[in-house]
Amino acid sequence: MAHRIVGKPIGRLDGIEKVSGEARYSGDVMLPGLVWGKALRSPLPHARILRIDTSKAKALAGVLAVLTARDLPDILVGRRMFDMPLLARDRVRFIGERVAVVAALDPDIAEEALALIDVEYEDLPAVFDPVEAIKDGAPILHENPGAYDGAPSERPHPNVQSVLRFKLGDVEAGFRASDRVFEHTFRTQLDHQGYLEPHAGVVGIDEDGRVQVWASNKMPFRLKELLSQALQLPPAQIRVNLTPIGGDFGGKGSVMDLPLAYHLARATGRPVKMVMRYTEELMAGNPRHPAVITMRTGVSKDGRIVARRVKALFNSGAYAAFKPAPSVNLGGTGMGAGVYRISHLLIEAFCVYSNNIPCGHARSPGEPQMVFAGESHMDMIARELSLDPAEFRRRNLLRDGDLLANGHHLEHVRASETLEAALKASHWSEPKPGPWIGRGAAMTHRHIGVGFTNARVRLESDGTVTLLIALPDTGTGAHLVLRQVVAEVLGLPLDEVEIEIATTDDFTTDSGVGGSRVTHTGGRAAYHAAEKLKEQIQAEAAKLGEPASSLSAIAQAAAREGRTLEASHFYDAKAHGAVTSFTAQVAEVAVDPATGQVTVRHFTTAHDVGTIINPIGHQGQIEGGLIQGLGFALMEEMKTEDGQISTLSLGDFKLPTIQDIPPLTTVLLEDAVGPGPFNAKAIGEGSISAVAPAIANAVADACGVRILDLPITAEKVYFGLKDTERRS
Amino acid sequence: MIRLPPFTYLAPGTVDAAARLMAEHGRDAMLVAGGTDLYPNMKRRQFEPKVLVGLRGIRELRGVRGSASGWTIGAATTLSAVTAHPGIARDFPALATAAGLVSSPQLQNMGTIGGNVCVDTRCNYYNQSYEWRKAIGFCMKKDGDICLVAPGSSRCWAVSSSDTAPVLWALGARVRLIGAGGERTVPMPALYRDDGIEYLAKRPDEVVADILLPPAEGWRSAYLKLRRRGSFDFPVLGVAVAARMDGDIVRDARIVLGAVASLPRPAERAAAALVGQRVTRELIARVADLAAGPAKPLDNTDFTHPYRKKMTRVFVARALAAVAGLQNGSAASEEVA
Repeated sequence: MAHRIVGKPIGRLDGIEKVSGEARYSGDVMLPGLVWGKALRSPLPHARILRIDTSKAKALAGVLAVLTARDLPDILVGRRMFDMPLLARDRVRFIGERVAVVAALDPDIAEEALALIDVEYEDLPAVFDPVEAIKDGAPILHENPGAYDGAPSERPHPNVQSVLRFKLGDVEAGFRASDRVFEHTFRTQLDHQGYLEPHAGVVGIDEDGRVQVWASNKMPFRLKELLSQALQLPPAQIRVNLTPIGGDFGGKGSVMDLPLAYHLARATGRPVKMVMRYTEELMAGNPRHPAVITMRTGVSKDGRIVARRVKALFNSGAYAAFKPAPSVNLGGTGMGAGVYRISHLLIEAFCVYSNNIPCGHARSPGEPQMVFAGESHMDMIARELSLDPAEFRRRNLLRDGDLLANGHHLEHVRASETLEAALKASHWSEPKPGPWIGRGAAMTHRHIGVGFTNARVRLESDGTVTLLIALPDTGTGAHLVLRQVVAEVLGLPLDEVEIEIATTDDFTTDSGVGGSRVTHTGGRAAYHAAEKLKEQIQAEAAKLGEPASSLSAIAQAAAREGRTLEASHFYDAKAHGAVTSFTAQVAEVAVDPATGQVTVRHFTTAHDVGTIINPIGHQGQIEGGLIQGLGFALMEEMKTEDGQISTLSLGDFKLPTIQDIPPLTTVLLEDAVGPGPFNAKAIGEGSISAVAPAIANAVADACGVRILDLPITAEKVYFGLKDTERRS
Repeated sequence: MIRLPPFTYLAPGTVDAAARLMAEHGRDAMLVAGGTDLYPNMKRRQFEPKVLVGLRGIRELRGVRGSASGWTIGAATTLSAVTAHPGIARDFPALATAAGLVSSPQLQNMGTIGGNVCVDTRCNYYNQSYEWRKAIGFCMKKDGDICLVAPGSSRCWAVSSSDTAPVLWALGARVRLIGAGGERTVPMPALYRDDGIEYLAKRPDEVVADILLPPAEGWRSAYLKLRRRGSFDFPVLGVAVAARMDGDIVRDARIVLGAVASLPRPAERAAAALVGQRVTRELIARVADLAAGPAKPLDNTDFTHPYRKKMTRVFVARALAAVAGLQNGSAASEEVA
């Protein structure tokens, strides 16, 4: 079906205000009397707090309040498991944990006051490595984690936060039935999401005693619930006001500093702004979990996977508080099965406490780690079997009707077509252009995000339509997509559909942004609301009896009778697990044998997608995810020694620059079978996870060096080459 | 958000006035041109000057001038302007390359060549926020009295991190310094000291006014830089090679290494081994081995020091091959590793 506006490459309408500084983010919110909050953070990874002396800080001119845990209710916060104090009480568990908080007239005074707070600590034994943390006799971080609200019951060791399992068949029987069994262990690094806007928020208490919140948070209604718990206030007493979000990539779903800002606002009688410094983001944000993953796969002589067992240890840091899933684990763990039919499967993921920065969600949580391990493992097995890695994959790809470990039978499986499209576009079967050049392929697939969203559309008296929505735009262009959907349904030009950003007062609920759901849930809510409005408009037009009457005439006719043409829709999507979206990627790299330097010469990414609502935004998601994957693969790492992170600026924590980005070929296999509006699927998390293994496989193809731990730096490749030389 | 501490900014109109202000304010004052390095360092409280003497308003400090006796580059000339200058690019390609590899294009538009020549030495234990340094114990370069990279050392091992300094040294540049008591012109090596803290040998009141380059006269040059990313990063190894060739015979040569010590480190024995020789692959290999000798990187930058040491040899060989016209194919002026 041809569309007028859906599918058109329309540029971002909020672009000008963002690049010109007009856009007002949470950190830009100013209110009369506003003061600034700043947190003092622990310099030690594990210590008892013996004494906190705030007297000098309190005496500093311009300081309005200094709070420690003793001044606050004994509340633990979290997103699902509530194990984190608002401020450390008696004990700190990671470097960067907040121990006191100050409100002052300006941020300089607040910083100065922090330096005047005297804290006496007594060191406690600490543990940093997840393998060490679950041994007998390891220092224990939380004496009774099972007692925390939201804590899962299974706990094989006190330092285990949660265990997540995916199971099919009988894995041990599968190994017995296998002709050969391969086992490899991989490690991935601690990695920040890299959003440019640090966590920022303003909390004020208005004349009616209501708590007004402006926050860089992507789930306003969940935030309201979490704040209600953290602040011990009825939800109705809290209003979350939406602002543009300067990048989320999974990391902006917690309460972070907001409860502290609230308590400072209570203590000072002023609205309080707290903006994390980037150094604080890098030492105490909620970055991607580092992982140690062991993959064990049994195969038959003819190269078919019979059984796989995956054990993942996620180094979760000092608190489980930042993980939102009911499992208090990472859903991406399921991708340990890859895109393959495996009859006998057991995946077990352990999130482990340690005296490190607490980790949280990052774009496709758990998947880049699992897919790096799984797709590197596939190539290593193919090499042992003397099979072309593409051929080994072909023999094992998922097909229609296959059962996934999450209980869904797949439909519309395009794994094979996606792989073949990537291979063709990357000239896989052609000779490589020279020595020290290699190609590597990797695949993944991803479910389409689900959740629930409210939308309301209203016909204005001038004939334009307003879409009211409580989904923040995290920088993806989601609002433009929603406007396109409404304009398409109503037959309007795009500029006659305005978007109005709701607050949490306007609706009762919304699952917010996350899990690649917005085009689906927001799009469908907007679609159905627009359909309802269209019916109202048609009915009104029929009453008027003039077929050609304009929308403004219709709106005004209704207004004369005291009516507004307005329609709402609440769209609630349950799991839609039968349809996923496949990704196949090929990296072509050159390895400099003298330096180990890896240059990605070309990258090919193929995606099995639904209807594309906005090709520019769609491509932006593909490229953004891919570049994030490239940083994860080649350069990003938060270097940590005994819990102390030393890469605390964007000079030392190395996100890719435009110089690091290879030429890209994108192949889109459109198939209108998605659950989104106009049969759209999801794209936000499809391109990130296979990048690292594609590059690792290409490096191995180019020079024989297999990198098992990310990132793939030149020095690792160089010393790998030297090892090879020594052995030969 | 890290905020600058309060300071007084003075904006003299001449170099002499700047030197007098520096003398007047003594240890409380620092010079600032582009500010791309100084201001972030001040935010982290690595420097706490009460007075900044700004050089941006001094016209005589800007611009590139050519004459029969060579080129003069005003110290406040931006790195972009140095890179873009056709005379510099023709006569001293290594300098144009090095200036164009400093940080990012945005910072090259602000940063000056004088600033890059005088850029603060760096160390993983020093280029950190005040709180971080306090948490692990201050080092001797600021606020403390120990070295965290070489415990027991009585000196600071912070790393010279200029891209242009090793090149200017290799090209035989001199710097004109104007102080409150008069001016002097010294060769590049005389500007530096082997100390991570007191890494400049000039008096605090002396302003680097000009960089003087001798006529190119048959000299060829190349600069290679090692860093993790394709932009933005400081060098963790820089190799500058300059050679005067007579056909394929080397008449004169200098090899200077950046980011392997607290000052640019000349590889004199290696350079001497080139003189009078025809450049061959074998000679390059021998000279590269000799050049790697003086490189003594410590574990205080990005990448491990054994790797940076190994790469010194590779980069010297490649820079020599480039200068001698022996490189195969790639004319890459940068190695991103």
